[in-house]
Amino acid sequence: MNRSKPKIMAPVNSLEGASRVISAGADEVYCGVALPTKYRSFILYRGPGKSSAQLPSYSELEKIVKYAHDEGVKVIVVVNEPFMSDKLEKEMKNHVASIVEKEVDGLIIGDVGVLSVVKEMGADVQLIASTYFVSMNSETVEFLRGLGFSRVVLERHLTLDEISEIVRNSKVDIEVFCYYGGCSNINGNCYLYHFGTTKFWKASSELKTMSSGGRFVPALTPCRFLYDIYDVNTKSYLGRWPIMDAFTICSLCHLPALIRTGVAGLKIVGRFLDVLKQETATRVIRTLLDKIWSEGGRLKRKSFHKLLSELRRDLNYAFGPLSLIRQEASKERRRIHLETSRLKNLHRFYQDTFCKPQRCFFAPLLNAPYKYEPSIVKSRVRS
Amino acid sequence: MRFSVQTDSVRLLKEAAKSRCDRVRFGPEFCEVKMPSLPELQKAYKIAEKYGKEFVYVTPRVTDKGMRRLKEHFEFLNAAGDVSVVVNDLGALRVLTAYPRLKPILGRQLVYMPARCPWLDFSLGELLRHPGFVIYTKVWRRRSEELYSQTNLNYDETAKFFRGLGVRGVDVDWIPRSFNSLAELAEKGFNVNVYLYLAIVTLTRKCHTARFLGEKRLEKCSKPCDKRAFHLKHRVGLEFFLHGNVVFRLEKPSEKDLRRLLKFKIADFVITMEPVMKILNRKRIDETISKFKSGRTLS
Repeated sequence: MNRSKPKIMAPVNSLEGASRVISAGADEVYCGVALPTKYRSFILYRGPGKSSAQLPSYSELEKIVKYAHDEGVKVIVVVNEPFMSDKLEKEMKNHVASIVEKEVDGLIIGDVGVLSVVKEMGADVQLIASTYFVSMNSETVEFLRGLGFSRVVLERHLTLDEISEIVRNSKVDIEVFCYYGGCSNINGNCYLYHFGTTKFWKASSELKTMSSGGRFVPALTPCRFLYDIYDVNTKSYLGRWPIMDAFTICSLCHLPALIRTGVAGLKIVGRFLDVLKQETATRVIRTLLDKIWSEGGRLKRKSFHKLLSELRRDLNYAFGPLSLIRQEASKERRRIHLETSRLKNLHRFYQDTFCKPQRCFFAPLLNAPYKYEPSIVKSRVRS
Repeated sequence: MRFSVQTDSVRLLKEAAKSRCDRVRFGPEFCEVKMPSLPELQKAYKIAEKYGKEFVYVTPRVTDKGMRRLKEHFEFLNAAGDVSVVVNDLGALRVLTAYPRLKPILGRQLVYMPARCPWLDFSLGELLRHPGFVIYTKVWRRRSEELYSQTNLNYDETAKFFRGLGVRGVDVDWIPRSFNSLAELAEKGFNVNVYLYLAIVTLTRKCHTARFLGEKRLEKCSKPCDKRAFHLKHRVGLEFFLHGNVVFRLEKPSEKDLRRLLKFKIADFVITMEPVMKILNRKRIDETISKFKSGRTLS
């Protein structure tokens, strides 16, 4: 490996979260900031500002920056809107000015228009290209370098070989997502907006997807729901399947190979997650990264899996059934969770849905959570 | 009114070239696996030439492997003549600037249109109920609707940036909510090409069709989407069409909307040859063109 050890970029949504992920081993933290209500037209675009994925205020950001800098950790702020408009320009300028004023180290940007706003302001921060640019090849990376980006986050839908080739050809740091939230679709071109849809979908009882065992389990994103499928040519009914569900959640088993590609950064998804999850994911990646790196990028399969199984206990504790009880959810939320048996099945769901069918980041791209059997469909149609 | 017909099959391109369309577009818009070989591209170019149709090459997003093939294709086209190339990848756009005879058109994947969201009206309603909007007014609704009807190119700096790279044409979907924004793009000097019937909802590289039909390796895909497409329905009343790795929704063109659109300087209406609308031969293309020319749109 020619390059330096990859940095771990962990998500945060609070000062407490920042302190915990930093002590868990994050090299950098990234966050978003909720917009003040007065920036109305911006809210119209982004959805209401206060969400669990955002810091509640610029002053919270200031505290995080101070704390992180004292610990020698960089703070990156996400301003990756997928498009810019005249109507948003003023608000965006104010927003970016407020962020930069807090002495953050970098901005994650996903649109040429937003970039022009930031450049016009002369903000002296590192520019990081978001996945909204859908970087899938070296030429795109070079294009973004020409625009002033010094780091590029690659699209999630790439294989390890493809990542490796891009890293070899690039003159900027390449970063990849490595844990949680591997979208089924290319997010720069996905219009299945999540905001405001919960009530819409709740009109139906079909908030479900399918695990590999054929069981139905709850899901919260539209791409993972069950759809009635008809063949366009024959008009025949082919059944109800989560046909758009290509979601992935982790890359732990592939981490040695991912590190060997030479990526400069490993990014953990989850600004919206609770602090325990953010901290655990960071600690697990840190432990594995350190071990793999100390062995020169190659770990004996047996010792790697031994370490992985130990760490899985931590992950199960943070992400598994007990985590939901631990969360200080409202009574209403807790009741819903219990009723839907989501608590009991979450861990099994992860194992069934993601690990067994090998639906991993950067693994072969065509894994499905179901097995489509034309013969079963035929008999269903006949009946 | 000018019409382009788009296909990624040499066989279907012959049908397109024989039809009453003005231009033919050849190449896969969304899938790298379906990119033609160089001989296929040469053959397609000759077909267009033979029938006297202007040739437009359509390219998808690509990996490094696909980019190497694209460069070969660009070499050939640059030597062949002044050809327009639809780019859906920023890297491809960068490469294209090295070929002075090739004219880039910004593909649908590089033109961001929030109005493609299938439940936009619902989301807008939810937004406006948020406590952040102390007084719910018609003004706010209008502002939000205007904002969501725009494209990324309506912002002057973005438009200027792409024009600086030689982009003169843009591809967009037929979404009536966005027509005023499209008019603005035409005023900015872009040739606006409007795709009929199927508007993009989402797309993936983890091809939903291939996964559903049990394909195991992307690079060895048997391309079932050449013939098959799926109609997806959800009980809340949503209907999508899955063709290959793209989920579309049907936008039925109305006569009223057509009249509205014709007031603007629309460069081309693009008809895609695909199984969903069953436009797979010359007869269907000519029928569609006749309908639009007579102002009858979709029946």
